[in-house]
Amino acid sequence: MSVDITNLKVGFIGAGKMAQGIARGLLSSGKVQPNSVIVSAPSSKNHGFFLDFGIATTHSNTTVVQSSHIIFLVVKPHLISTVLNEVSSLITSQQIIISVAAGITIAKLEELLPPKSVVLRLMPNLPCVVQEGALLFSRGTHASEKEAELLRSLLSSCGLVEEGPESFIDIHTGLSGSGIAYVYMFAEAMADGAVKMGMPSSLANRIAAQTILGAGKLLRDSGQHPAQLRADVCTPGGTTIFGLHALERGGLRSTTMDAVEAATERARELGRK
Amino acid sequence: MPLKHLRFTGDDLSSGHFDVYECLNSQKLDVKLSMKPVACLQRLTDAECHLNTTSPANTNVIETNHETQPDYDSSNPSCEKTVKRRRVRHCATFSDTARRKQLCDAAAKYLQKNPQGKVQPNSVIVSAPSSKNHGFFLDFGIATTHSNTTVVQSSHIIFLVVKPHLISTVLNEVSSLITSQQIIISVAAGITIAKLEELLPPKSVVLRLMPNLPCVVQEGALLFSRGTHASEKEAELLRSLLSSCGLVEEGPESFIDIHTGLSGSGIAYVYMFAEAMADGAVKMGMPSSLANRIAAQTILGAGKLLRDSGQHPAQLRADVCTPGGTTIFGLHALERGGLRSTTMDAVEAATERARELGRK
Repeated sequence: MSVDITNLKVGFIGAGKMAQGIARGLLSSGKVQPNSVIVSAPSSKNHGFFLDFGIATTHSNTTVVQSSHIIFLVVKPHLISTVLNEVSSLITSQQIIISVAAGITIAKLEELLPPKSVVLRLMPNLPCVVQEGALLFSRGTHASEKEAELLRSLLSSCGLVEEGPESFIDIHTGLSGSGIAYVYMFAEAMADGAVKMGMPSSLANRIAAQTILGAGKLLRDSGQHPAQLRADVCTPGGTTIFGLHALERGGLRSTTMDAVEAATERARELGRK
Repeated sequence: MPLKHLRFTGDDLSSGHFDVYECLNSQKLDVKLSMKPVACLQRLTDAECHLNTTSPANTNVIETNHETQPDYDSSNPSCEKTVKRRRVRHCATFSDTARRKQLCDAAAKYLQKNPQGKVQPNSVIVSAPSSKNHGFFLDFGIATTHSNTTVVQSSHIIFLVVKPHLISTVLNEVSSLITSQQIIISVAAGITIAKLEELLPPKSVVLRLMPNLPCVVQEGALLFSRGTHASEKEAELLRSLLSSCGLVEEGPESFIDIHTGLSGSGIAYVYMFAEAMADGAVKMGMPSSLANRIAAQTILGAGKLLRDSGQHPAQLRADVCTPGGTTIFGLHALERGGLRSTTMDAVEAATERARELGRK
């Protein structure tokens, strides 16, 4: 694709939360101006979000396809066929198609699109909506390093952006897509532990949430292995090692691995359907 | 003092000259530097750029970083070298790492000279027996000394941030100098308010504070309790001073041990949880370094959503479970393995250990 990055036109088919999060990230990165973005959705209910940013909205998918260099497909998986059947004939190999639809493989996308279409598959996660997402993408048959670099650059303000083979996408789903809910459950349990010890629930929940955010930030920014960081904070005979022993006794690590495994296997299963 | 937003303007296609200046109007912020959020950034629309050139009263240029640019080109009329020039061009784009660093450095330098906080560096003094940590404070413009008595004699508010076994020694040394006009805040784990008040003169104003490690990145969880002679006024003052450290809560002294078990030691529980999440992904075929980066980011992202939503985690959890989707399969495994029970055990064990240590 040989278009000047300052004239990049980006389109979204789908206007839900994930499209909003990605759009917000694109604008934050400064690489894309609001007036270079257009979003389509069948209803107007999400249009307000985009209009507030100065982004054009429409009900026409074909308009989006005709006016964009890069097209994000951010619709529910069961709608992908319908949408691609509608616009496929308008897509050229000068455009980049990025699918965010869970479980829809690159093979399936390439089947629905014209030959030589440039396709990438992207798995974001929910915290993209606050620019702290974890996003993994894979290249389709005709996507080169250049498109990968462009995507990485565009999404850089959405959070962590990584590339991998398509086989990593299901794992990313199990780890990072569903992982959000594991953290929520963990937070709830931490707070409940404090409630048992005598702290009121609302206070305990506020503290638990802040604790997880703070620890996550330290972990993410340190770049060190969590086991090393864990060792660094264990005062001999102190409270922390007593807590950790309880976690080991209860098999926290094993259980957590089970969760990532179960969710990943479900993702693979759904991808096969 | 309201936070003054820094505006960055510049053209990313230029040679990289940016102006850093203070702006008096404050609109909603949408841009954040991911490297080091030292300042709030505001993105200018084209309309605002034009507005600024015609309404100079709205903006004051404080500093430019032109002087640090090696590629300053004196033949280019739009290049300026002098400080205190107003310049408004198109919005800066922040995606380029080098440019971001420039902006961060400029912002940091600006904030250092113009702190937005309630306490100025020259109002702070720190004592320690050795000089090994003095550099950190001196870099911020904070005075350092080896004399505890100097600190006590020159401060209204004194934070005791020594290891618990040194508290007696320190207080015995300085106690006679402390007046009831001063506020003593002890951060020493396990040292009760009763103990502190015993070591201090009668009527001393004492508060006990339990921070946690992420204070070092301004995302801490801090709980404090008032001593016998500390009033709502001192509590309010402390809350205000610590507000940029993270979440600040007050509670009875009995909550401090719980806070230790939940939030002090809780950091390590999160680390263990992160390790396990990554290992699960490794088992499924993802390389370890990638899995660890993603796990860390996932936890940070989820923590942020949870903290900022103000909603109960069970509600948020329910909201993200697509029927028959991957998430509910994962959650079922966590239930089967008793994750919640185990985690409660950990908070309980650490809290009970904190209580035990406090009794010694």
